[in-house]
Amino acid sequence: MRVKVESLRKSFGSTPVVDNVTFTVEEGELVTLLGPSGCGKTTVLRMVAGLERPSGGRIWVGDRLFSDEKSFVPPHQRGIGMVFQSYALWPHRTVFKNIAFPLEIQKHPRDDIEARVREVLGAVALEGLAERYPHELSGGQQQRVAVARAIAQKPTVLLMDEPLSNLDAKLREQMRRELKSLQRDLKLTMLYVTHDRLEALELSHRMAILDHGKLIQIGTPQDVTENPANDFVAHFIE
Amino acid sequence: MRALVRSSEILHGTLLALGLVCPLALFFHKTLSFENTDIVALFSSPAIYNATLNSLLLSLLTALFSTILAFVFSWILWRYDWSPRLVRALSITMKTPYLLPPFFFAMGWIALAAPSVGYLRALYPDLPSIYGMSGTVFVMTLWSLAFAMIQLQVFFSQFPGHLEDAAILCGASPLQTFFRITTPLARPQLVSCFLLVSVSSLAAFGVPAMLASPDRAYVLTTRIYQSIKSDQNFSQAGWLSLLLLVITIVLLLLQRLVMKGRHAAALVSGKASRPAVLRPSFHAKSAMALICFFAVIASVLPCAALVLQSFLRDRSDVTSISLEKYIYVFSQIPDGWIALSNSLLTASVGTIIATFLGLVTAYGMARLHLRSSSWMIEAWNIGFALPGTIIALSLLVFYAGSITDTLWILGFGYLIKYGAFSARTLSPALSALSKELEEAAWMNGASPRQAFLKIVVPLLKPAIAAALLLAWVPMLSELTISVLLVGVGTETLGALIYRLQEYADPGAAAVLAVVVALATLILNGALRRVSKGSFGI
Repeated sequence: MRVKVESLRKSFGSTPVVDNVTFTVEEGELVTLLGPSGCGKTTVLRMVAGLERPSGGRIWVGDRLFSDEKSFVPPHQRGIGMVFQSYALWPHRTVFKNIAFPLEIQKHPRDDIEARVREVLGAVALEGLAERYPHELSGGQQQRVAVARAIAQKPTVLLMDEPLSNLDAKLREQMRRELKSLQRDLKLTMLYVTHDRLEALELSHRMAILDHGKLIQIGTPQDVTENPANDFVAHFIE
Repeated sequence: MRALVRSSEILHGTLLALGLVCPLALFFHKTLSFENTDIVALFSSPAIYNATLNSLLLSLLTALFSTILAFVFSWILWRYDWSPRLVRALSITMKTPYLLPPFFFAMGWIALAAPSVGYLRALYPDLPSIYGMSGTVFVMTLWSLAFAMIQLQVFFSQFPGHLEDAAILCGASPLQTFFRITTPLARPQLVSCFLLVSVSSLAAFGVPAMLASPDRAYVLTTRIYQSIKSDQNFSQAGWLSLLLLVITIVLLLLQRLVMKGRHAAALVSGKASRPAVLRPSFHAKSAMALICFFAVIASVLPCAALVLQSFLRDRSDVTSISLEKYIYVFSQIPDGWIALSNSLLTASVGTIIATFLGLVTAYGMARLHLRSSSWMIEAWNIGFALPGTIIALSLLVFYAGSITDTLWILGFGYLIKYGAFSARTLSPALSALSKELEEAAWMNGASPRQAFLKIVVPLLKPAIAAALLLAWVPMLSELTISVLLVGVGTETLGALIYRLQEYADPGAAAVLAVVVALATLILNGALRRVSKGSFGI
């Protein structure tokens, strides 16, 4: 589904952290939010997820208005999947139970849950690890479980908050390729936060560059690289 | 979830209003409006002057000795290369008294060092009698050592050890680093620990009642008890309570002042770490021997004396070992079963309510950032800091003629005094739990309530078990509040043990104390096992 963010604002106290940000993510598209630490990219992502309430602006997913001055749909009613930077795997649940959680909440029949969990475990190449606990997995495996859990409920949109930042360089490269093919195969609409320009250049259909809470430029990696909007973008993308 | 927190806050607020705020307000209003009270005469009478002086002496000396000993012992255990098993055994032995009420240790020391019947006095007739203010300070110091060690353990677990390493590399000896680096950095924690121990010792009733009162030395708490029980002088009890409250408030304000903005002082440069451990020198080994000696006299000896006494048919004959006292207590003392069931009932119900309210309030504070939840926890902390004697008296005055002589008033008192343990345990545990774990549940379709029940509560299970244990243990054998509030049919274990020890049968009292101690230690062991050592002592 298409995500539309319009004039989005967020202030903590009197400090604005997101200032009048507008962009869209088309269905099946992967857009990265790129910028230095503290530029407001994670706050934008959390507002799309519903984990932060915007100070102003609107958020639509498909035809559904999720947030404006008057209304706010809580995160559990948005049908959006999210992969957290820390993965946020529940340590008291096995891999299987972590992935099955959204389906349990939706009260799917047990057989359907079993089948769907096996399916997504296959998609992220984790067959055979279903009964392990998160602490028994490597960093890369934990990251895959987090992705599997996020896609198990067949979300309308998938949000990713620096999901590769805890991995070493080699594994990060491998996971980038895997995420790219997963997104293509499942035709996922994805909003992806990163501060790593290489990651953004390799993964994105389009990338949005933020600085001090403002959206400076949005375009394809080629557009942004060849025609940077200002010195900041040119320097950051260099 | 917000609605659940709000409704539990209404219940919580009602409990605090009916158990703390209104009773205290009425109690002090009545105290201040008593006519015919010559306050100047009251406070200048030698008896009251001595009680005040004794209270201050007990409080300050206990705090001074236990804080210094705990700091030195903790440093020696932390700094030198000892066998981990030895350190663990010593640490557990020295902290175990904190799990048991201090008056159990007074009973143990009476069995050991009372004139004519003390087991140690039989071996060493020149040993000083345990009765009197010095004996009271001695036993309170040994018990408070556990409390102080637990407080200072937090300091050493966060202390950047490389600061000591840097001093050693500059040519300082271990002792010089201790005095010039570690001690100055620990000053706020030491002062805070000193003040907290002094507040707890000031409120002590059981130990001074058992050890100082027989020597006609009184402290404020025992004088208040005497004013109510013997003299029926409510006005005097009220004014003494007011004095006790003022001293407590001054000490607590000082503690807050000392700790304000000082948390970072010990964490001056980043991560906590162990310094390079030192090979024990001759002096360190001598200090270790002293620690072992203190572990024995603080924990092992009094507990062993209590156990021995519980098995003796004749208190003065150590060979008369039998189960007679146990059979007698559980078959012939009708109050025994009543006290046991009353204590179990009030402690269990009080603990469950405290833990539920503590969990929801801690959630309101840590997750929803509700100011009202912070106030609730703050009010509970005030209840915890208040001397039990004042809580009991204010409840007696407020509920005169209604629920006095029922278990309700005891439950109220316990909840106000020990309810803070739950929130104090659950609040940091909840803060330490990454919020993303809960947010991930929301993103997977769980409502806030479902996320709380399916993710937060299971992850907090060890902390919840710890909160249950920490509130249940002191409620089960509570003495200070119970001695003033028990009535016909509402006898409790603490009050019964005190009565048997003081007036009837110390052997029977020892039996009950051993049963309570055993149950507590077993539960503590189970909790440590379940939480893999994260909780319990």
